[in-house]
Amino acid sequence: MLELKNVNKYYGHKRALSDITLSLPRGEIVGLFGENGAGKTTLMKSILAYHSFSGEITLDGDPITKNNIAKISFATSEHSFFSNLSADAHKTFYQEHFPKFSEKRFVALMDFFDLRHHTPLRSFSMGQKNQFEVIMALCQGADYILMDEPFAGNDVFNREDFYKVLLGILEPNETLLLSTHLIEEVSDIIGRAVLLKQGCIVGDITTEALEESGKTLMDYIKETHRYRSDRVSRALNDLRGEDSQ
Amino acid sequence: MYIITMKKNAPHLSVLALIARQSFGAVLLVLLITTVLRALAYQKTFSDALAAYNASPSLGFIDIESLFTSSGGTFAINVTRISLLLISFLLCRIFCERGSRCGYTLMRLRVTERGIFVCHAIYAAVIYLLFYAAELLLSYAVCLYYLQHAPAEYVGPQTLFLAFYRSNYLHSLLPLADIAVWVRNGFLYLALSLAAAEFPCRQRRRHFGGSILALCVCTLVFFIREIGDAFNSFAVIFCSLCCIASSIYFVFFKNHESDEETEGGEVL
Repeated sequence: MLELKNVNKYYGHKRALSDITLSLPRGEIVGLFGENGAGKTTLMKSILAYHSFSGEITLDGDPITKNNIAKISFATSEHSFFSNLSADAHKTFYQEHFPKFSEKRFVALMDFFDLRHHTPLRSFSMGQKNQFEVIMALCQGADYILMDEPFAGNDVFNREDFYKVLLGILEPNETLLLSTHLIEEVSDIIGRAVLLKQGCIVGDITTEALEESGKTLMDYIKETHRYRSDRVSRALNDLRGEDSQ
Repeated sequence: MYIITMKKNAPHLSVLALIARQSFGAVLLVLLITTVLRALAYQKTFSDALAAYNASPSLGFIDIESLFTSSGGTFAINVTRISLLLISFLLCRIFCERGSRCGYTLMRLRVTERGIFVCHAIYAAVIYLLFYAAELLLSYAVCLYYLQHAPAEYVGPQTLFLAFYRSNYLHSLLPLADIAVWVRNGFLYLALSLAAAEFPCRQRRRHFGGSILALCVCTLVFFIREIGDAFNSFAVIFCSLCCIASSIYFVFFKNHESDEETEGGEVL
């Protein structure tokens, strides 16, 4: 269980995370949603101990340190690989640092995405880089896989294929925390949605509860965020009004 | 070529191997090209001098130390300077974040960031030692070539020994009994190795690692100095010590929490 208790994070005087309390049991696929600047990436970086925060984050009861960080993997649209190295060089390196690294999964996913094994990653296209980033996160042998906008830059067919593969390969004890803006695309694969707004959790609901309520995920998010559906028409009217003056 | 096998459960070795994979080939190529260029420059200077001597022996023959200050020798030393800059650049770009944030992966390894810095510094020390060895061996080879091919009246039993006292360049490279220059070179070597490893640490935190630049300039400008120039030695030692202290402070003692505030104060 990955547990966050009263986590707060400040950048200077700006509060980025506000009293976040969240539990992620094993075997869940959780969608993390929110506007740009809501704190999704900051939340993930706090879990990974990439920066300081107040509050408590524990992994199976222990604080996250060098001893248990291998239980968490991270895929980010910023990419965290070494651009000058090839995919196979990454595999060799990861095997040394992440003892549960799954070579079988690595080979299967590399073949599935038809990625080159021996060329430096800097020569990959943006979509291929994203794919490789996700592959490394999935192959690390982590129990908790954090993905931050992993498919930014990939085409829709590619993404659909990937969702299918994801559902097919995830083990029952693997937890996926997926931060994305592609709400409708992932609504079928997630089992729970967590909504962040201005650093606070404003919604946390399972897909079963959503189904029972008869709402779609998008409806729920819009409702929780108090989305004003007339904001575009009002803005356009305002602009037209300015033009006519 | 780059395949380096290692024992399992040797995370520091795997980091060293990763560092070597990213730069060793390029470093060797730079060393090879610049050494060949310098050897050719010395050879041409020597051949020209020998041809001139054979044409009119009364003009005399170039002495060994002048070989290093002639136009060919100056060209060779400038190639050495470029070689140092290129090698420093290659060392500094390891683990820099260009197009990807490899720092995220480095922070999740079994080795701490300080451990990675130490591995990088050790690797840089080996490379700078290689650079120094190549420079020294080439200079020694040039001297031996001179002893074998120069007219007999210009070669004596003390020629080689004296050359390392008369030539500022050779003396700076191999100071013999001049302890101050040995100490200067030692501190410069240590400072360069640490600064090359510190550069990516700073770059990943969006700081500029100016130490390596300062040390390279210091090496290019002050390495070759008049024999007995104590002020030069102390100035270089002082500069090196400042850079060593800065590197160690930044990596081992600085509280990087304040850096987060410079992430733009922006919630991501």
